[in-house]
Amino acid sequence: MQQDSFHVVGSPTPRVDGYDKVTGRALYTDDMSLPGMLYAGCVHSRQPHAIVEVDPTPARSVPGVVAVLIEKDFPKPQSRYDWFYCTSHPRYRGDVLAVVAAETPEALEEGIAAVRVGYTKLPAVFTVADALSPGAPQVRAEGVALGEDGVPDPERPGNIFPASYKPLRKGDLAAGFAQADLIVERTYDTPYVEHAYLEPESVLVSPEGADGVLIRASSQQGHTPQDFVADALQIPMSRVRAVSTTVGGSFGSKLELVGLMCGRAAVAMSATGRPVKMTYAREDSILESTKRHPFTTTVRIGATADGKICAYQASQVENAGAYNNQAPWMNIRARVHSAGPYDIANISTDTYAVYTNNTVPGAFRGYSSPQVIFANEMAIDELADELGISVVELKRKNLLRRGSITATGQQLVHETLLVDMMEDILRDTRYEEKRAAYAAEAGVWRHGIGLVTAYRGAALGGEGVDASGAMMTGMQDGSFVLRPSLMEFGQGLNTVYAQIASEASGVALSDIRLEPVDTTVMADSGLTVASRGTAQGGQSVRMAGEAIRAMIEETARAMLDAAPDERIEVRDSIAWIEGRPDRSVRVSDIWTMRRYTGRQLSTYQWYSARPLVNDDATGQGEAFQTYAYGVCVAEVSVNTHSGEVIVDEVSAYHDVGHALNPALIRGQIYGGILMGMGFGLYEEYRLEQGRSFDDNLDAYLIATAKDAPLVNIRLYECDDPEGAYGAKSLAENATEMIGAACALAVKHAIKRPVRKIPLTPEYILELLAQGEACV
Amino acid sequence: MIEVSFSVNGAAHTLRVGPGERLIDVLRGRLGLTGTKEGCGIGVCGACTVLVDGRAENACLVPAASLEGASVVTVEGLSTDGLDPLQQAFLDHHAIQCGFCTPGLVMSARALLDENPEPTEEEIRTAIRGNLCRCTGYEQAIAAIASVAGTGARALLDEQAGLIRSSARLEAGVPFARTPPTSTPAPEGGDAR
Amino acid sequence: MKAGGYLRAASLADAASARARGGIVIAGGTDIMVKGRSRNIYADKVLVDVSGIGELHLVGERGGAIEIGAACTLSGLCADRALRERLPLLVDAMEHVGGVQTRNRATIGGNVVNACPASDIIPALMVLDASVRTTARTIPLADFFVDCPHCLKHEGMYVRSCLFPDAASKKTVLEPGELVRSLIVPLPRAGSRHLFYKLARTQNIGLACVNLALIGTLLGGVVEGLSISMGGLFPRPCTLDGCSAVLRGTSADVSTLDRVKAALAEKLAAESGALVDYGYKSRVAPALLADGIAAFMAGETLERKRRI
Repeated sequence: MQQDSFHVVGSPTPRVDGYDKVTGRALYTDDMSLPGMLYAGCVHSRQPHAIVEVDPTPARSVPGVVAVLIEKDFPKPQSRYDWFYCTSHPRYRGDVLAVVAAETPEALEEGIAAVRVGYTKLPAVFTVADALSPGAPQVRAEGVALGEDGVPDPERPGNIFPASYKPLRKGDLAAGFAQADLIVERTYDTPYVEHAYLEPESVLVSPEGADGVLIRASSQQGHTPQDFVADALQIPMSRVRAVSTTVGGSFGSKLELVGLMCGRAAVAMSATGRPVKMTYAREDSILESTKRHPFTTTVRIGATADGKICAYQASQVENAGAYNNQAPWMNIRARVHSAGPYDIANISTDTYAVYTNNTVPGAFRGYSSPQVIFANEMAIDELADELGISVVELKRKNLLRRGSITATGQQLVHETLLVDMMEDILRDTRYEEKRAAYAAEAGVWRHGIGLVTAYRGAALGGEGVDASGAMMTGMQDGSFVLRPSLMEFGQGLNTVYAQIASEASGVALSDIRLEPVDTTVMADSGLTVASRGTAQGGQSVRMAGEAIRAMIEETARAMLDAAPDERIEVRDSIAWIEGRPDRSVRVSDIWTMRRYTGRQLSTYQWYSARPLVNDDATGQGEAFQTYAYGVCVAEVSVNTHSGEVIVDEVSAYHDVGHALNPALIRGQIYGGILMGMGFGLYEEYRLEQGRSFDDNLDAYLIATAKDAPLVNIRLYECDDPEGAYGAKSLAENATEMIGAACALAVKHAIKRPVRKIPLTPEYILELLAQGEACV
Repeated sequence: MIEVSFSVNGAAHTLRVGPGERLIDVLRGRLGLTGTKEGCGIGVCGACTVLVDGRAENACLVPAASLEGASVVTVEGLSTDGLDPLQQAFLDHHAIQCGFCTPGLVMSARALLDENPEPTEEEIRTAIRGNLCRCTGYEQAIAAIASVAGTGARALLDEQAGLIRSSARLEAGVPFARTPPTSTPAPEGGDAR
Repeated sequence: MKAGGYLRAASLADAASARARGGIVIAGGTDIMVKGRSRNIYADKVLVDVSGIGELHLVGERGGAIEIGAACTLSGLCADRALRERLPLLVDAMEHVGGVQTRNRATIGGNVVNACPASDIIPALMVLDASVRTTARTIPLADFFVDCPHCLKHEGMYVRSCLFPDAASKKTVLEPGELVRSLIVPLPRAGSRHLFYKLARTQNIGLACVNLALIGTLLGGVVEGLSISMGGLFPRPCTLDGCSAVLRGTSADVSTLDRVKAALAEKLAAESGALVDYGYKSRVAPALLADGIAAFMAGETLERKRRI
């Protein structure tokens, strides 16, 4: 894509929502109030598995408490998404037993404390190992057992979540291993991770009109609150309207929990006839919201002595928690990327989730990729160690290139920059020189450097057909309203949509106003996930802009009396005959002309990505329309006496296809780097018998400004036809490599094998105590 | 209930507050000033940072009853007469994503520059250490603050540098443009953390 | 937060009698407001705000010691150039407490009376041989605290879940109605050097995992006087006199440091039953102590320059 031919996309346009955010004018859900509004909250289970008897009467007599709802007060206690709005059979400590609504926050707190709960405890399991062992209590009726062959056995009951099983089979694994001169088998573990967005969840549900319901919610999704409320109240969805608000971060979390909160608030609204706001305290947010799936990955990798990988086998097993909604989709991605960005002819992977009475994981930036990349890149590093060759040589011999066949049998037909990016980063960071120098270090502080190469299927891929709508409506004065169907929640989507719409239509950026996602206006276009918002979601915005441009050109041609061979240019809300800027007309005048001739200057467009063909039984076929490539080098210093790790420098090079807004991209990368550092080094939501004390930000630590390393970013562009204006995806790519890179750097610094993250100081000292260096 | 008189953004208030009522409850719940946010309730995230007599404080930890005679400034008070230079700088440097930490961060920065107009990069990081952000990685906010400070502690980031184009060059046999990656310059003096 | 009442005490006498009636003293509130947040522990307590009592804000030098009013905020003290010059170790320790927002409200008296085992200020005051001046008496800091093994069992020692709503009555020797007026800190000997280090998992503004405060003098490269205190480890603040004794008269060479580590390890072993992170802390504390002493001998700090 030749950048010089674009006027708006490709520029670091300031955020369209920046002014409101920096002045404090932007309204997040908890900032909103309505007359007569009640404050609602939940009673959470104190047991991980029990049958409860809930007595609401003491709470009902607390002054200011207006309603106390228990399971029988809910028309449909279980949501369509597996979790319960309200239950008398809690299966994890985040399950809700009662919902209280009160006149004031103080009365609410008293009311919640006054609800009496009697528990009859039931047997519970918490670890995957325990859940898979014979005789383990069955957490969910639909769970199945693990077969002898390492594959779920649908005929026997157990704790594997059957829909989550996603196998991948490529080539002939046995033949592959038979060729191998060396086979390495290792197991790796990753933790539960908390999203830790700064804004705790908040929903405000109110009556609208005679029998309608209006939802404002801190939701990553515009449409799912509507879905949950209609479900909870058992009313037609057409009576339920969700209008998006400013959302203070999400990273994949504000989906199920927010939906459940909307359902609970809606039932309380229905019971009282009054608007209901439910805002969670941080402790409630951490207790009940989803987490990153912990993965236990066993990798068996075979290579010939010269370093060519000939076989790759893996089991990727997640702790699903007590309910689960995401694993079946997430595991589609996990199996595609399980063997990493390597050209391997024979691959067999089994990916599945196991029910336990733990906190429930869900979608989290990356959607399995940070966990998969950690295990895969660590295994590659250990393979290099065992083979006695450098990991750089191993990568050079095996990385995917243009024309390579991926793990799913898909040929990479578009530009594949991966190897070139790796060579650049090796040179820029002096990786090999440093590895050699650090290997010889003695002293308390040791340096380490780690390299990760990654690829990421852009957008939804095989998870569903990527389709979305956009509406662009002109006004008499030449200003436009752009209605998206995918959500802004901090990543800058509204800004990039304004840019795309402006570029495509020729309407000035300052004349385009983004409106919230409104379920009565826009069709459900699926979730704002998978980093699809710009690349795929932007296609419908582009189409809308192009449709507007066509209308402008048509009328301008007539108004300017242009000759048939004369081109019409449109930019900054002016249309003119190419080469004749004196012959021009404003878009506002074009609107007027069209309106009086019975035509509109508005459009609704729907985009649908080309369908992908793949086989669910083997995972073979086209997994994604295109792939984005990334390489990363992390440099650390480790104090071998205390286990402290300082991340000195991170270099992150990303193939973004086309950088539609480089400033937004950089911001995503900086934030993604700190999030990834946490994943590798210090973030862990620790559960013991289904309970955690890491329920506020004093215990669950995220990076501060003083933790940030020196950051080097390089963006690569290429010609890729799949995404809007050539964009690929970036949001998840920005974080997925970092944890693995930090872990590799620490491994090299302390010269001990690393099989688990986070690499806390405690764990590092344990590893160091294990005696002789391994590499 | 305790009667207390204090000013918020220059406006005088006399209120009867509960003994444990927090400044953040007064601001958000009673005065309709929702720019100050609650992220954790325990004084760790800094989203509720306001100025009390010019000092950055977490409004979730300030008893309203302790504010007799105090002067409180919130983010709304920064833009009564056009944007504060810090706010403009945050916009110019793309220092905002979800925006929830932004008011608190801007207030901490305001307090810093009021006391120390020419901070080093390390001093900036120390001043905002108690303001957590999950989206931005802090880099662009620090550039914004440094640009207002005018210390040159941070070079303005060149947003367009570091873009490499591939296809045409590869096909023509021309290697990638050797523009250096855009990196955060090392701090002057290498101050200890 | 729920509280039973709020009294802005005009004088120390008012505050003392309110305290004697069961009130809870509050100064900056950075501990009280967090402890009381989601538990109703102060619902029937009167909060006695002492921050307006003038004499609690005085800082003065007299008779070779500096007296610091209990209600002085940490940031106010850190900005005091004369104090930084006279008591650099104390200022160093205070600068490590929380973030700017915390230090703008937290007070030196509040920190001492709260008596958290992971306090950053208390170890510094201990090695400085500070005393506590109350409304009734003056007590050496070393005699101010009572053993609190429960705190060591407290995972993470978070303020939010602190076991003691009224730390003054349970963790110190303060009598009902007795308030702390000031800390009296003798000036260190001429030529003293010091070291402070706060070990934590990240650069977060929370409590230390383990911290270290040292002050002493060298004579001809040999330890002349030395006082050491470490936080996050013991049921009561203490100075590591056994370790100091090993070091006195030595140049703190490797074998001496090994003996120091062993002395600390032995003292720590008594806490193995109570200290929740004993596995990690028993490894890191002796190493931190030895590294700290080595840096102290070399006139360096343990702070690692980041971002090189």
